[in-house]
Amino acid sequence: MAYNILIVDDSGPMRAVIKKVIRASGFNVGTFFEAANGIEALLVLNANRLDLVLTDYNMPEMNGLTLLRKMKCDDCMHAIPVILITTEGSHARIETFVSHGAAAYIKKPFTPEEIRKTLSKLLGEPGNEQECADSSNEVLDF
Amino acid sequence: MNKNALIAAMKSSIFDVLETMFFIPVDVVPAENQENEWVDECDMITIRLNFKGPASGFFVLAVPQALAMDVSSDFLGVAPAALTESHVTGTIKEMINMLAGNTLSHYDAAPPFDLDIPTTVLYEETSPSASYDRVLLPIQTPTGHMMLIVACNCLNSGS
Repeated sequence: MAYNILIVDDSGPMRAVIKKVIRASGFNVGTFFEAANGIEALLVLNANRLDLVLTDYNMPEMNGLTLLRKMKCDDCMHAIPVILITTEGSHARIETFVSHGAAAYIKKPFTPEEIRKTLSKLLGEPGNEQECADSSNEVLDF
Repeated sequence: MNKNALIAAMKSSIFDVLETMFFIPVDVVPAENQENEWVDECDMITIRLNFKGPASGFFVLAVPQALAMDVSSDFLGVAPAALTESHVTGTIKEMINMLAGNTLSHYDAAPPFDLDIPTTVLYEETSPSASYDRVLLPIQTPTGHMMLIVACNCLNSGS
């Protein structure tokens, strides 16, 4: 199964690096979609079938937490796993992400291995990908 | 903010961010009276990022153009000749974003700080003022040096 992945970050370089790391990890990616903020991300989500969203927290127009909340309130989007990739490291913020249904959290700076491990938990090991589980009621360890 | 604790947090974040994310071996050197020696205002890309929370202020990252291009080329996997201004400033903005977030997390993980969006400024706009105290940390890399500055409205020297 080829996964369609949306990367949401106002930094073009960071979107490029995340794509590069995911490709290098060997996951079967169908299409990478990109958005610079939560509003653009919702437009992409409404127009395409996505299997996974990786989003930054601090972005102009709409931040990652608001995007997550809107996705969880949408019948078509709520089951798509969302990974927060962000510099935000405060315990309060992490708890907020978890309580709003984030599937995982990766703190910047990250190593390529951290990306690979987190995606493996959600998608299965590269080459042995499984159907995305419905993680709407599940909080994974991260 | 406690100045000594802030300097320790800045140093930790510099090593974490530059070595983990950008694969740059770095050394943080003493900054006493070295700002004029280390900074060539005509040649710098200077990015400012404001923060607020338990304390307020801003981060500044000043990087010579040549070093910024080297870092961006390596980070993005793009040949130097193919780099655009957007690639380079975008990379440095992402660098200061991570340095700031990491520094504040190292300093105090409990109360959340809010980070603004990084913006390009002139280095002279970051000069000391009566409203803010500053901490300057020159960062030495194998191919050049850059400067990380934190200015805060309530910086105190404590134990």
